[in-house]
Amino acid sequence: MLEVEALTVRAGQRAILDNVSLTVAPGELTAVVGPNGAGKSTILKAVTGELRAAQGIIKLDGKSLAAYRPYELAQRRAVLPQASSLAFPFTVHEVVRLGTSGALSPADRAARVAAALIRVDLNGFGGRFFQELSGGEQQRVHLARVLCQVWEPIVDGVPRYLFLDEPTASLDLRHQLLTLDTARNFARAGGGVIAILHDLNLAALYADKIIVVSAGRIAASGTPREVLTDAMMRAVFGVSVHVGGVPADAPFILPHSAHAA
Amino acid sequence: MTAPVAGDRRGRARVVTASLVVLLVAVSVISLCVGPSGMSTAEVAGLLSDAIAGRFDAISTVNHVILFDIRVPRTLLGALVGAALALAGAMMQGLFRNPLADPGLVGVSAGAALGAVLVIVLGGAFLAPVMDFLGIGALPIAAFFGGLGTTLLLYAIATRRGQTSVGTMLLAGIALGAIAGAITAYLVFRSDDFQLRELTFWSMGGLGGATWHKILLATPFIVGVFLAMPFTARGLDALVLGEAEARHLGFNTQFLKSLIILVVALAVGVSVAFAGIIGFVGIVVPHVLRLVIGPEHRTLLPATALLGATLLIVADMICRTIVAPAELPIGIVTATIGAPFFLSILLRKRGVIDL
Repeated sequence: MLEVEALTVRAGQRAILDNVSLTVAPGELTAVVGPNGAGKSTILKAVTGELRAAQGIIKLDGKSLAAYRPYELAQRRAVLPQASSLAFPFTVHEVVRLGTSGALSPADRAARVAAALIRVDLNGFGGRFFQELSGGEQQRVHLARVLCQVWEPIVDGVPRYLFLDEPTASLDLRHQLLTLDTARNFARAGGGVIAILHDLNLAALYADKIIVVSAGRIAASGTPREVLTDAMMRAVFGVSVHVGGVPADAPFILPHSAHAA
Repeated sequence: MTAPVAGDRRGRARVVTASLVVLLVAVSVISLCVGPSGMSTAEVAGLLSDAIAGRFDAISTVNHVILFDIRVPRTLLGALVGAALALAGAMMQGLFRNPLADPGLVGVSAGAALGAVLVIVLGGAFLAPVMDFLGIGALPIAAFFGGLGTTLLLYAIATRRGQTSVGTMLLAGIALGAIAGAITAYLVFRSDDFQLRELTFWSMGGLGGATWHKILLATPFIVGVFLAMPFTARGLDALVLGEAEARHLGFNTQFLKSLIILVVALAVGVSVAFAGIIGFVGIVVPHVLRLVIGPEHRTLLPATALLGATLLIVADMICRTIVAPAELPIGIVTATIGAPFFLSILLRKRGVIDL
């Protein structure tokens, strides 16, 4: 369980996050949505330990985040960054191997890398140069690396976590779905997933819980059906839209019928 | 032997590293046989076998001096300095996530030189008590702190919130190098005749002044640099993804960065103290090897040390034979090889670097 209590982050006088509390339960996929500049990335930075200047309490499985050593944290959670370029000519295999533990034998590491590449639909890409791939492919290479880092969602009864910063940002539709399938399977197997998503339809489709962030505060939190309402869309996203409920389980939003409010 | 995995270049790296060991040994032997005295290869072989067998009585004084007091220390110093400079380059490029970082280009060598000149010029004056305390080690220690100070400043200037700006790094390096150069020039300007002679001797650089004494002084420092390789290699790989990513992968990045900066300063300081400023080794060697065996530091660093040692021994051989019996400053040779390389990297990266 990842618990955040009364998290406040300031940049100068301005509060980027103001008294934010949330929980991410293992076994669930939690989506964080919100307009640009709402503070989604800041929440992710705070819970990964990247941001130190935060006030408030952040606990991972009952222990304060600050009390973990870097390598202990790395064994419990993996973080997928938004976009990252490489200065040197690494092959895809070499990048993904960075996520594997040095405790594995070389053969096991190679096998793990290959399996991870299959999972992100990049089978056979091991020998390609990372820099020569498209943006979407690079994103999936990093996903494979991150999956290698927390390969088993539960180890000795302790859940592990995936923190994903816009994992679908530069992907085509098929790979958006594949990526979120992978994330959901990770959660179903007992791990915890927190993902920043822009596409509300995908959030509705995949998330067990949606947290809506607006102007540094939590505007709403709950199941997709509870959260994705006409009123929330108007209040948070500033669009007047009718949220439909036609698909069996998930509400959906058609941008076609929306206009700026 | 299992089939190679696509994208895994460690097998190739092993072969290349083994070849580099052979090459280094071969070049070292050739270096012992080359010189203005006209000693033949057969003679050198005879002398070496005499020495190995412990028959020192059989070796004439002249031959002893030429081989064991001049050529052997010179070759050894070349290997040590070449390996240290190449490693410093590779590590600095990893730290700055940029293939253009080189201690010579971004002012670290100039800072180390300032340290060395400070000792030479002010060593007799108000630094005298320090000098007495440090003795013969004062020069490398001062060069080390000069290099360390410059590297720390450079990193502080070029890095904001974990992001290192290439443009800022190169420009700040030029500025820091210029400041160090100006202070150095002022110190030279106000030095007396005796100091001038010592300065000239030192600033010519090169491996000509190699003695066993210098080797003994340099070795512990450079061994320290070598020992840092296994502790930094995996971390350097992770740093290539970015500082935050390296932390997410479990590395203590603060410790890692400090260690790398320390090691770079150590390598450059010792090299500058004993061989003057030698440019471009740190940029050419890692760059070539990255193309051949890939950028993974676990394989790149040892190979870089080997090729750096080889390159400097070869450059030194060229220096002392091409205009024999005079000697060319070694910096001319390394720059002639290195500068075109640097330009070719720049040309290929033109789109990527924005100042």
